[in-house]
Order: sequence, then C-alpha cells, then structure tokens
Amino acid sequence: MDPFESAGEGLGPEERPAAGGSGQPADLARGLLRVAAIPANREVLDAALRLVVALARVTVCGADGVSVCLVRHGALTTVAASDDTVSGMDRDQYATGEGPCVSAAAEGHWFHVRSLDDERRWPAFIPRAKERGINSILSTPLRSAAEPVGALNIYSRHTAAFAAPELDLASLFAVQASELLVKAAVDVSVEELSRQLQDALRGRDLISQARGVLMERHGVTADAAYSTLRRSSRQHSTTLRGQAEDIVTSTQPPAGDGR
Amino acid sequence: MPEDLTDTLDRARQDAMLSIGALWVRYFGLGGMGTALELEAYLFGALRPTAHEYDVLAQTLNERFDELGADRTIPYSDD
Repeated sequence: MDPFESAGEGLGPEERPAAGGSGQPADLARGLLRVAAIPANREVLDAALRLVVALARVTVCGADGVSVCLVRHGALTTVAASDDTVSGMDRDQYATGEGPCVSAAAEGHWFHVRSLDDERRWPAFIPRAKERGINSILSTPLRSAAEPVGALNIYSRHTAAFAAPELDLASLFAVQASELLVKAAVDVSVEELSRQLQDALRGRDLISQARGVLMERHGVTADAAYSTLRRSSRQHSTTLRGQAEDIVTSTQPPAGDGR
Repeated sequence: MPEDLTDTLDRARQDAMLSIGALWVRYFGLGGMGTALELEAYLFGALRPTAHEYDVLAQTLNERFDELGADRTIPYSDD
C-alpha cells in the first residue's frame, strides 16, 4: 500500500535528481523562490510556502512527503503539505502534543529520526506514524527573527532515508521559508490580529444576544443564562458560539414567512 | 471551582498549546470580560476570577481540547 497517493511513483532513488551533488536542485530552488518574490499577504505567503514544499519534495532524495507547519492563532497548523498522509502525520503530532515537528517548532533546532523502530522519544506519536507507513522523519525549524515559529517536515517510507546532503538541502529550504516569513511577518500579524478580533467580536455579539433571549424566556440573570448556554453546548458537543447562534436563529421568523 | 488555581490553569493553557495572547482572544470571543493582564493573573493564581469569569475561561480551554481531540476537561464552577 502506498500511503503517498500523489507522491512520485516510479521514481527510484537512483532516478531522482541528485541532491547536493551537482548543486542544480538548490539553484533551481533559489531561482523559483526568487520568482515567488516578497509575499504581500497571507495568501501569497501560503502560496510561496506551498512552492517550497513542492520543491523540497522533488529535490530532497528519499522524500516521500513534505510539509510546512506554522504557529497561527497561537497553535501549530499545517499551511502546506504535499499530500494527505503528510497532513495526517502533522495532525497526529498536534493531537498528541509531541513529535519531531512539534519539538523543532518549540525548541528551534532540528530533529532527525533515522528509524521509527528505534525511536524512544514521543511514545504517543511514533506508533501513529508507523501506521501511516512512515519510517524516517526530518524536521527543521523555521524562524521569524530569532524565534522558532514552525518547522519544515520531510517524511520517508524508508529507514535512514536522509544523510548529509539531504540535511543540507532541508536546511536550505528551511532558511528560504524562514526568509519568506520574516518578510511577511508584519503584514501577517496585523492582518491576522484584526481578523481574529473581528471574529471574536462577532462571537461575543451572538453570545450576548442569546443570553438576552434566555433571560427573557426564563426570567434569569445574565450569568445564569450563560451557564445554561454553556451546559447545553457541552451536552450537545457543540461550541458555545454554535449554541448561541441556534438560539438567536430560533427567534427569527422562518424564511419566506410574512411576505 | 478548585480551591487552589495556582498553576493548574496555566498548565492547562500549555497543554492546549495556546499562547496567553491567543487564549485571551478566544476567551474574549466567548464573552470574557477580563483584560489580557487579568487573564494572565488568573492563570498564575495571582488573581481569583469570579465564578462566571472562571467558567468562561474553562469553556475556552475545553473547546480548545475538543478541537485538538484531547480527552481532557477543566471542571466548571458548579461541577
């Protein structure tokens, strides 16, 4: 079973472009990244990062899948991945709170797992990675200014897939991706923060409307109305905001009425 | 609400993989009335939140745990 649906079938290691040897893949990467230019906003930044992922995937020998994860909304998120297996690998790490990608992003140095069979770190994550058919992992940190802000992750189905030339190429891609982040940093944070605040305000508004409805319906205080909302959201396994939205919607006349 | 909140809330925040700023934006979105500085004081047990503010904070963390698929719940003040 090939876990990498879209990942270069038919390319054996000897048919892959040589990594590091001729220097061509690295030149190609530099050239194409220059074309990506300075990202002006998050969409452009994400597109540039997807390009980095695609390039790393074809130029790093033994790479079956590549992803870039970044801290967004205060949590690690995969912003570019070469296929579903790779996004799944990242998700497993966020869910278990451990793994080379999480460690590289938090500690700011690279983590290389030569063989998952011999790996003793990350006991919750490693079995999940094996289930996905992965055997070696290389996670290189991304930095914005001096801070680690994410990681470039390269996964392989083969044990000990990565040696010195691959480590060099991975750090080259990580440096390029980090440069994109530094250039985009100001735009991203202002844009992102205003978007988050707008969204938070919409949430507060919905919740306060729903509290008003419940206070009126049940003759209770604002805090008691909040507790009711909270309890029913836990009961229905939904978010408090989702619950508030339902209550507010329930007070509106059905569409099409009154015409 | 547990008697001693010192560190328990901040440990939960770390387990939820949220920075204090990111937690505040989410807590604010769920109707929290505390400033980011007050939130930080709640987290480290320097300031005791009202039962209501504590519940908003617990709800914020619990929704985040759900999002992560983590089997973890912070108890509410009336649990």
